[in-house]
Amino acid sequence: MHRMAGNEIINGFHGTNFDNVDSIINNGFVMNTSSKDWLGIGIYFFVDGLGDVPQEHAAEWAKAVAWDKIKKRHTYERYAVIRASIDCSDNEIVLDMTTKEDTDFFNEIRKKYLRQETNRNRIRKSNPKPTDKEKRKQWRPTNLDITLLKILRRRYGYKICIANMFIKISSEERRNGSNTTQSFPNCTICAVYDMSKILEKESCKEGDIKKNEL
Amino acid sequence: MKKCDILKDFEDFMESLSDDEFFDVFEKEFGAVYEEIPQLEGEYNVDDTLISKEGEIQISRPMYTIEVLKSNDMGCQKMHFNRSAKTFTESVVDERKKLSNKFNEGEYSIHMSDNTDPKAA
Repeated sequence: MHRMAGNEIINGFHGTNFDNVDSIINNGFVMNTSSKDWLGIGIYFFVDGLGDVPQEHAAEWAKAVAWDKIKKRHTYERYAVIRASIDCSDNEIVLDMTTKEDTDFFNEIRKKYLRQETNRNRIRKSNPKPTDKEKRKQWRPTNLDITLLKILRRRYGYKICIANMFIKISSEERRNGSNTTQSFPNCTICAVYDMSKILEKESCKEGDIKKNEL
Repeated sequence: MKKCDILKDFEDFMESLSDDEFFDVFEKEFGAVYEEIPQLEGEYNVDDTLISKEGEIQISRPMYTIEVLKSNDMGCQKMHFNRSAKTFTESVVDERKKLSNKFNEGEYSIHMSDNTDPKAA
């Protein structure tokens, strides 16, 4: 798709607080530690693919996440977008879920896991002799895909994941969006799990957050 | 590592784990957060219980997945159905017919799980 043959370095755009720019440029990104994020623990970028140009997605995101819902105010008033070049030259460490090949591969991993897990659950049910309550237990990860991504990272060395996702990007979407299931993606993102795959970075856009944006 | 080698290794890796180790490894090493899947009550036989048991089912979620798991000595087979609460009763009647055609013997357990994904917040 967007990562065409020969296009092994891709541009990613990361929206952030303007105050973080110098630190990111000089010291590098700080790895997000929330394993609940879309593709697990990593540094996230909008990349070419679905929706607006990724630079605009990143700007909208930076403005939207500035808003603190509890304190009812912006945590920063100036945002920036950092462009980074990401080394995707080694196909064996890039999981590109915008391609059929990698999507099929991931689905096969998931199938294999679920088959094993189902068998283990059945064994749990039957040995030792289960009570009526135990008989009805079936365990499954609530974060199945994130867990499988972590296996691909830790056991098989994957360092980058690209995927089409649905994300509430703008302030408006975050304010008005419901928790109903969004079936179709609206953007393409890239999670980098290894800092060494980020080759260059520069600030490419900055601006003020208008107080009436939320 | 080639994808075909990963698939093989992953399968071998899982096979190498004992039943006790399996959930522990995925939980502790790979961050899996296990929770019990809400299930409909009881075990079902395709011919006589899918309809008669439905009166016991309490549904509080607007959307959910019904997962029918058939266990026998040939392994296990699953069927998934996405249904809204309103159409649940009719769906079960319809699915019973489908199940009767697909599987003609064996024991079924039916699991219900919420389809609503709050992650996008």
